[in-house]
Amino acid sequence: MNNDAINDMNSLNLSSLPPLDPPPALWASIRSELDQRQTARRHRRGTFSASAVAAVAVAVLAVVINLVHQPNLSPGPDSTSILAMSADESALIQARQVSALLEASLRRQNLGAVNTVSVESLVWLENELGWLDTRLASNPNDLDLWQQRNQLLNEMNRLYGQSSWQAQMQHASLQQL
Amino acid sequence: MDFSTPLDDISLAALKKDCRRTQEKVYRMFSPAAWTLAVRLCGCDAQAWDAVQAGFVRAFERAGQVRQADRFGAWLKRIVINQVMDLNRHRFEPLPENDNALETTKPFNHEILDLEKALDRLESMDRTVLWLHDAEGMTHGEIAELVGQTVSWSKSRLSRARARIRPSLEDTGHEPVVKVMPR
Repeated sequence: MNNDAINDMNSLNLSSLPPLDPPPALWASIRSELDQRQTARRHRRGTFSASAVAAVAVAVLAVVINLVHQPNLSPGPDSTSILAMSADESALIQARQVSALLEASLRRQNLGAVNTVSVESLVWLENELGWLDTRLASNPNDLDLWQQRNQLLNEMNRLYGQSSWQAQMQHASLQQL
Repeated sequence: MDFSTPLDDISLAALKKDCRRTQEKVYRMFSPAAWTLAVRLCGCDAQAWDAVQAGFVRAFERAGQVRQADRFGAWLKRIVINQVMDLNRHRFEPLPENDNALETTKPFNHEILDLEKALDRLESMDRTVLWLHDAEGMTHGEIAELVGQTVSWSKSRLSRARARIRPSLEDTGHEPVVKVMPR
């Protein structure tokens, strides 16, 4: 006889114990929890949908802005075609290229620290830039807007550069100490 | 009705759609079995309430996982046992090294001894193993898997639980019935 069989023979007759009735209020408690969880799930789903819509909107906007601001990657226009273009068109192309260069420079500057004096100006400039970009999205060929954009980017580059220089000076003076 | 009561396909489909009326119907079908199991395993109504409530909520929310309606009861039983295990997990202590330690803890009150009360006075893990094996007919392998222990651990717990409960029953004239469990 193996151990399991011995165990089985020694078992108590526990199944003879009477079944028990659950408390009457238990179902109400379960139903209440189910309702709460269902409400929470619906709320989460609603929040998720809103977030998804917002994310899609942001993505679409980013693509549009990127397309508008993308520097001309195709081979530059040759001299004859430039001559054929109007002065406004060439100025527009030039403004876009300058804008792309300034943005690339700004991306590099952005990694550095900024002092508190410049932060206020930068926030204002970024707000202005956002407003300009919104207008450029609907008027991508407006030369005046592109030029204003370039001025803003230039100013931002200057502020970031200044902060970076000050930070380097502070770092150098601390090292001397 | 117990956990072996089969559920029909229509009820299962309604459960999967979160139908509150069907949930209540299913609760009425299985709650006596679930409540009895939880009270026997926990040894107290408060913990049994938590385990049964959490068990039914989980079962209703995951009804989509059940493929065969007639297996719903067995699936629910497993969930309730797991809920009790979760509640008791922090209280499960390793086996004492010697038998004397068991005999000296929690002395029985000779006036209130009967099978039910003797069972309630066992340590939670002893009671769980004893009930799952002797009342629910689970094998040591199944118990070991549920608790996350070895088969020999389950056998050892069962043997000690019986050794502890039996003298108390004999003292009160309650003769434990020798019964061969179906495998």
